[in-house]
Amino acid sequence: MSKKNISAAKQTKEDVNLKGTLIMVMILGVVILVFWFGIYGLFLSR
Amino acid sequence: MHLHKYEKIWLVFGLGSLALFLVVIGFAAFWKGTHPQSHIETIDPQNIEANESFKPENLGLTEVADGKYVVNIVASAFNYDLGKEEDGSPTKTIRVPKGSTVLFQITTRDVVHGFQVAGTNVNMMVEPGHISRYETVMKNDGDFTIVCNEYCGIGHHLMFGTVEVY
Repeated sequence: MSKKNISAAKQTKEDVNLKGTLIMVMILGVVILVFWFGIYGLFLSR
Repeated sequence: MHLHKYEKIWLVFGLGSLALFLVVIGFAAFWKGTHPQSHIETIDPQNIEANESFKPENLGLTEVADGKYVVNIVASAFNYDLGKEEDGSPTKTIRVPKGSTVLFQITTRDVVHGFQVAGTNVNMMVEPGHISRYETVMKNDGDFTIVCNEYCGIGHHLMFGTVEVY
C-alpha cells in the first residue's frame, strides 16, 4: 500500500462523525445510573 | 493505536462505572459484611427441633431487648409456622412497633421455599438444611404480607402471613 493510501484511510476515520454515537452512549449511561440510584434509594427507604 | 476523541470519552465513562460498581461491591462485602441470607450455617432438616431457635415453643415473635425482636419461623409445605397464640390457634400475624429492629430466622423441613415480606427488604430463599437470616429495621408502618415466592408445590399460594407494623 502506498503512503498516499494510508493517509487517505486515516483521514476517513478522523472524519467519521461520532457525535450521535456519543450522545446515545451517554444517554444509556445516564439511564443506567438513574436506575441504579433509584433502586438503591428504594432499598434504603423500605 | 489510534482512538477517536469521543471513543476515549465513553471508554473512560464505561471503565469508570465498572470500577465504581466493583468498589461498591467490595465495600458492601468486606466493610459492611453483606452476604447471602443463608450463610453456610447448616441444620438437620429431619430434626430441626434440635436447634434452640426452632423448638416449637420458641417459634414466632420474641422481644429480646428494648425495640429488638427475633422472629423464628419454620416453613413447610404449605405453611409458615409462626408459633401459637395464647388461645392455642396458629399465629398468622406478627405485630411489631414502628422503628423496631427485627431479625427473621427461618428454615424448612421439606423443600425450597421463599420468604418475602412484600414492601420491605426482607426477601430470602429458604433451603432445607440451611438457616436463613435477615435483620431489618421496620421504618414504615402498615400491613405487610408474607409470601412464598419460590414455587414449592400444589399449595404454594396458601403460604402467607402478615407483618403488622404499628
